[in-house]
Amino acid sequence: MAYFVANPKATGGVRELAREMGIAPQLAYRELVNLEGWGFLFSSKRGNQRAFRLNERFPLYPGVKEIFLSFQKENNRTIEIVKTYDWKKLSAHYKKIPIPEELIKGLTSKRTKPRAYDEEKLLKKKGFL
Amino acid sequence: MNHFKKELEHISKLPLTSQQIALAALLTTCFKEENVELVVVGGAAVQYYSEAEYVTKDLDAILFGDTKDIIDHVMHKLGFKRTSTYRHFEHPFFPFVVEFPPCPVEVGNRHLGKFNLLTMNQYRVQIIRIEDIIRDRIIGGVEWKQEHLLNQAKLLWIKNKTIIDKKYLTQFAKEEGYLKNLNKIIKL
Repeated sequence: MAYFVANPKATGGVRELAREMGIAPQLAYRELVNLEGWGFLFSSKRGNQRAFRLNERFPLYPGVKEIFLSFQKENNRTIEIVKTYDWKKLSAHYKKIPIPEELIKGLTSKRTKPRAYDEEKLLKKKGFL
Repeated sequence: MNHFKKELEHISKLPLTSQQIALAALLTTCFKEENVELVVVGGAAVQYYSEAEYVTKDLDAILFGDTKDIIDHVMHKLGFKRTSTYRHFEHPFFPFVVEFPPCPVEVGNRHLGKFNLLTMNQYRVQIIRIEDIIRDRIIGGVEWKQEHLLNQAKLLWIKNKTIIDKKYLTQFAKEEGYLKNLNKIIKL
């Protein structure tokens, strides 16, 4: 889907598209047929091959396009550095500041749900995985 | 490969807090080679900004971009093993796990693009701003009724009140309805 949103005029056979997308032809074929089944793509005969192209009139196309474009925007988001701290200086600064004992005790809580990785270990131990 | 092993061995001999920063810095360098930015968030950030009054059991780092294949490539290169089918990695040298929560970095439902840079000798780590981690702890504490998160916000305030951008914090609290909670913390 991402490929066709980025290249709305693209058209090609399974091998050609698989090469463009950098995936195995079998995987590409399965996905292209699925997308055609949904109505997202059209296919037509081109010699011995089937050529796939985008159906821009697919009712969900504008929504799908928006999702992928926002995803692309998010991927291109740049990072801005506001302040730089030297950790040793910061650490020396922190050491001078006392913290009330009762606050230190209240910094953690007993977990009621195991962490995801502990949960998996537990399930393995009990033979569920 | 050997270079990384030596570096990891060196990092594992540092004190626990420095270990996490140095490891985050090494990960930052490795991911940068793949054009991926890394930002430390969560408990690890609380730990860095409070000088280990609070010690976390995992290092949360958010990567920017489509990184599904890159994470496996980089982490395996460093000798980390995925602990689950999820997003945690562990290494025999370290007593904590590395977790990659999904991008973007957000507090409440606002996406963040501005961060701080923490330096320690040759190490460089991009990290969530002190003000944003306080916001995160206040929201978590209030919305999920988690007292320990509010205590972490208090700890961060006490330790950092001279360097915090108070205007930024107050504006957030006014806009999102946490002014009462922030005022309680600021009084400390």
